[in-house]
Amino acid sequence: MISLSEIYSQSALGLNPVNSISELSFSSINSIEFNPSNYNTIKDWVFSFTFGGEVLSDNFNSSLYQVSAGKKFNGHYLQLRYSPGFQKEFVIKSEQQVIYGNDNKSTLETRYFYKELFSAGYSYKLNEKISTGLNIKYLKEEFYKDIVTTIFSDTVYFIPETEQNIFSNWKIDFGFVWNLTRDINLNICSVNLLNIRENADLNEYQNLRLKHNKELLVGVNYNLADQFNFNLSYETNSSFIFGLNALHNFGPFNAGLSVSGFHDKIQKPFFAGINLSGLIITKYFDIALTWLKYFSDRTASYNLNEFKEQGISNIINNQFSNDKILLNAVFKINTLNEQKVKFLDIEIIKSIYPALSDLYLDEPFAKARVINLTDTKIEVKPSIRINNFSNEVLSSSPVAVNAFDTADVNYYLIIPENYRSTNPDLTYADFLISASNDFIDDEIQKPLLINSINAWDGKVINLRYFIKNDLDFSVKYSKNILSGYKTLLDSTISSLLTFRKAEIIFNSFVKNLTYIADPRATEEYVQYPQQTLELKGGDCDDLSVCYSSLLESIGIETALIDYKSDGSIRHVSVLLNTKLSPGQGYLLGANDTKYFLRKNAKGDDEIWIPVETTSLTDFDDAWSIASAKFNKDAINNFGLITGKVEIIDIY
Amino acid sequence: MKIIIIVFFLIRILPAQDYEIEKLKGDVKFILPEQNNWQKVDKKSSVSENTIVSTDNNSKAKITGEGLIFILKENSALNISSIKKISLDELIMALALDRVLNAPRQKEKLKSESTSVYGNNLSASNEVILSNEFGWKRIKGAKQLAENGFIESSIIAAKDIFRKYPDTSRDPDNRIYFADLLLSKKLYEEALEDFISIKKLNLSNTQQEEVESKINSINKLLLKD
Repeated sequence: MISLSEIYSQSALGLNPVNSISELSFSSINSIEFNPSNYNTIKDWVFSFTFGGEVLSDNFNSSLYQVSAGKKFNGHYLQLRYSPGFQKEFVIKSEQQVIYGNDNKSTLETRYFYKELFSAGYSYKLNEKISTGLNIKYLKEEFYKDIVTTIFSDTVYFIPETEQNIFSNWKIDFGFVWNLTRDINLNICSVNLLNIRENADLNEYQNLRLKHNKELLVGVNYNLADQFNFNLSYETNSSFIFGLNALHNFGPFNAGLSVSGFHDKIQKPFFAGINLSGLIITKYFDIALTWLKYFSDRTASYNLNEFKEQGISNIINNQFSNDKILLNAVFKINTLNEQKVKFLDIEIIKSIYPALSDLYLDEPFAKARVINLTDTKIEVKPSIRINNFSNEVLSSSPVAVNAFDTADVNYYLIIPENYRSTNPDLTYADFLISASNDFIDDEIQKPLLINSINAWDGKVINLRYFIKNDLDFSVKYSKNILSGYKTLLDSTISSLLTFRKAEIIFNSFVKNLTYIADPRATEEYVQYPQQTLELKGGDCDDLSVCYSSLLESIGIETALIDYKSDGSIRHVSVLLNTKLSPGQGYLLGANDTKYFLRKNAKGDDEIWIPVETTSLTDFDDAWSIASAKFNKDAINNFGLITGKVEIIDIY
Repeated sequence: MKIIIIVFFLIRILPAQDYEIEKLKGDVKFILPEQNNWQKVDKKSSVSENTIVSTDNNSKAKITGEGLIFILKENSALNISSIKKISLDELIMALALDRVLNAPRQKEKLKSESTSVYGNNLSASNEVILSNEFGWKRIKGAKQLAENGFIESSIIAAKDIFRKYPDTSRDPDNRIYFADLLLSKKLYEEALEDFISIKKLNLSNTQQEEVESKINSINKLLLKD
């Protein structure tokens, strides 16, 4: 005698072609039997249909087994299933017959219907690795029994009637899926966790109800190779199902096979059956033809007692189920913009120094690593929006990324012309990436330091931005000085005009200036020429920037000499091009150690002289001091070779 | 306590890079690095590094400093900082430095050069260029460095003089002299570069044969390497 409470069937087997939690869309819908977490990979809408029938049955319950629809809302997913074909009918014929007056005979029957009419599932993606969900099934159990009622009157009447008892059941289960790695996912879910059922008062039907013992179902899905995976699900009632899915790419579609074998504690033999599916996977729809084959003989008859002893727990897979051939179809409809590219990482390479405006047009201030999520080469467009800085979204150059490949994308910046903040600002930058013009594929916010308009990154080469910032002011200032020396300049030979102008401007502009160390010890702060002249002083950076700007504004070529060797203190002075040729060196005096030759782009030597802008006495002193330092540090100590001294031309 | 005394002593000694110029005969003058005018040496004068010493005809000067004594012959000029022993590595560094200074700047200004509002921008070619007498004096001084064993310093000085006084660089004998010095230091590539440049000058037949012969020899040596 077998106790009913010990009888189970393999719950994880549904009418799905793959029967495993995988990346295939078949796993996303019509998968409630093995996927209570509703783990899915769909993007928007998905519909599924299953047609088929039992191979050995004389009459099909329905040619339509199920219709499902699923919809994803951000991280939420909802699916509904109507399953008219999920039913099992048992007919028990009694030995009693009713003979009507016209000799018609009718055998009294008892019929048991088990139906799963509707189910619904909901899931939520907690993060990239974990999703969880629940499903609800609505089942009906219908018991019909033919009886004959005797009515006594003038005549004895026998009226055949059918006694019916119908019970509704609600069944709720929870599931959980963990993507351990890109290739392995683990899942665990309940079986029969919550059962809300109408009680059958009649003891007669108690033993005929669906079994609902509480179990756990655990599974693993492992991608052994690209498009080839293995899966195993184990149910705590000692049933299990295992399978392999293999696909091959044929250009616009993938095709392959899915094979599952299963063991059910009460079904014979040990491997009770096999589920063999041929799959065709495309971008918009998938089709599968499934053959569900049981290895035991399903044509045998059972008597009522035998049936009552065994019972069933799974409507579509039990010891009385017949072989099935099913056609599954899944349609994927995407009304949303599909995310084609995603950020992997963003690195802010440098803080923003608004003074170095043009620098950010040539050099990226941030770099992002992105991944192409599609199977085609795409062009991704980076752009950025910075709060409290620029009202516009600033776009950078697009970058082509191969299918499923990663690439580095650079972010450039345009400093607004009217940006004049004298205080640093820690703000937020929204980094955007898109593969089309009207859809942002991914967005990440990062903190970004916008320095003050006077902040400098410490690179002498970038002092040129301060020099060139306000040449209009500088040219007015320089011309104003030179206009006071018209007589002297008119009498100067043209070869010496550049030198003489540089001398006059220096001697004039230093009259009211004093050397003042940088007041901000912890940050690099550089004054614009107008500020230096208004404040009547500055440090070596400020004075060199100012003098260079005044000369550049009237067409005198300058360079900055960056002395990096003075311990922790860096020094900057100015080198200017006199435009004299080597043969004209005598015009500068007899001392040829005070000037240096540099070749211009044409390859002709020109005489350059250094000027120490912190020597605020007169031009000759500033020139002599600068020459001595340049001779010592740059020439005699080979500073220009060792890198301790660098000449930076102002372009 | 001893350490303190030694440190104090070093501090006293380290800045002592001063040189002394002694007039042996004739007219000797010098120009300090921060000045533009010559000063005559009466008997002895103390000067700092980068001072230039110049002698006239029938003149001679004795230069002492950093433990060295150097006699500057007549009609010669010398930057006294050149009177020092330097290693071959330092010479190579100095030649590299010369190449850095000699390299044309990569970029030119995008803007056009402004013509001055003040006066006419006369052509430089209209102006009188004084003779390069001083350049020739400097070359003689550089040769004397080599004759006194300061070959590396001599080569460096000559490179500077040839650039600052272009006339001197058009004299084949002087160019060959200093190219030979490079050769003597087995700086074949540098010597080859100089000889190829010398070959473009207006050479006599003898000079041409000598230069070509040396170019061939150096090429063979370089091929062997």
